[in-house]
Amino acid sequence: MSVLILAAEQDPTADAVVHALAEHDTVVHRLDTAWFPAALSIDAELVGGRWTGRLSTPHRSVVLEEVHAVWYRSPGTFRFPEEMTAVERRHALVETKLGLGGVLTSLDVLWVNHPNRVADASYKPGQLVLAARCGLTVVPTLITSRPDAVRRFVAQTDHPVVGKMLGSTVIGEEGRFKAARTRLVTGEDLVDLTGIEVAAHQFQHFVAGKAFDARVIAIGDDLFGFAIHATSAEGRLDFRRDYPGLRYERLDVPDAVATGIRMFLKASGLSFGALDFVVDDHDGWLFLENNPGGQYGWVEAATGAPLTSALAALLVRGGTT
Amino acid sequence: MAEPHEEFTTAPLVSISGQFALTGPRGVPLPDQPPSATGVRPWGLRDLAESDSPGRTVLAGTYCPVLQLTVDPGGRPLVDNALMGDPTANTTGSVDGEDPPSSEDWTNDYVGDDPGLPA
Repeated sequence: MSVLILAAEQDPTADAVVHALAEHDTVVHRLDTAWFPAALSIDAELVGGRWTGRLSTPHRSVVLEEVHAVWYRSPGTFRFPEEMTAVERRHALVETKLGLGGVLTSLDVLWVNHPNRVADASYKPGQLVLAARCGLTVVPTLITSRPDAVRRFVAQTDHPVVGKMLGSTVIGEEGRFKAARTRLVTGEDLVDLTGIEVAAHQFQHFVAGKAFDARVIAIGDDLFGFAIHATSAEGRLDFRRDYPGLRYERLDVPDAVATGIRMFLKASGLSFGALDFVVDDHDGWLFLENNPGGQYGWVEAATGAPLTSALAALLVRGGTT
Repeated sequence: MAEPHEEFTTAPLVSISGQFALTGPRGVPLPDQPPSATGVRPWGLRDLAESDSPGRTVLAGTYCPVLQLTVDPGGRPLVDNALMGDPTANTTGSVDGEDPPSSEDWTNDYVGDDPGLPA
């Protein structure tokens, strides 16, 4: 039996898991799909209703039917010869995605996480509905492309309102990275909401009685809670605004919240999640979002929580998602 | 009408599970276009900050296909010395050689949905 890790070459978190798996009696194969086709090939045959065969690199051969768990950690897209035309590259991309990707995603093993479930989980409005259905408390939220709806949402609450991205908070523009952070909607904003109408935007009530942020790293059924204490007003609004001012500590996840998280992840088909909450000054936990590909190394480094070993143990156990 | 393959990759409401390899090509230069004028640019892209996290530098090394780890020039795994970047920081990993490129940036805490054109 073997564990298949799909990750980029330069990934210290993946390195740590490979290192941890060395302590177990399990074969580990680490591949990056970006090696295809130059240094990765596929030879898979449908036998008895399942895919058999190999993925091969110059250094190893992965027998598909021996894989019992897959860690899907943001491997790169395929890299085709530069001599190909755009049409040829698009053809090769689609065929390879459907072929190599189709064979891999049909493996009925433990996935951490299955990429198609990750893709589904990227829709945060759906996360909020599912979280509420699982008994988690969610924050009043508006998705709109109408300026008048923003004004209505702000007018009907005494809470401050914040604008938040639904997708990536970092864009590349003018040759450099720029970051969008959670921001308070001000009276000045309400006067001029130009640009709301050209895209969908997300707004949420800001928890006025916010005590601290919490991140829960879910690895299988194991939940690891962390309090993220900000020491500045900027950090309290969005902890990503002030990393140097943050303090971390381990945190027990209340039973009711833990139950909701496990239901949420099961319904999402996920075996790993990085879930963000706000904890208010009455110890209420308000669900913000789940990142199925979220990072955990930084809280492990800050607190010593055994996340890498927990993930390695989950991969060794295998099973199905 | 879009070509079928374009519908496959750009249809707005289907699951992005259509994209198997979820991260984009590496080593591709960042777009250099300036922002659009007010009225065209989405409101959510107002007041973007420059990289507002210090990030952390990932130790330089090369990938060893035998150990399946990043190693230093002497072949020693860097795993015990690796620094974890802040979850949404733009971190820079410096590596030797051409594959991957000698320097690349990535965002830690997000799994993108569009790999773009293959590199």
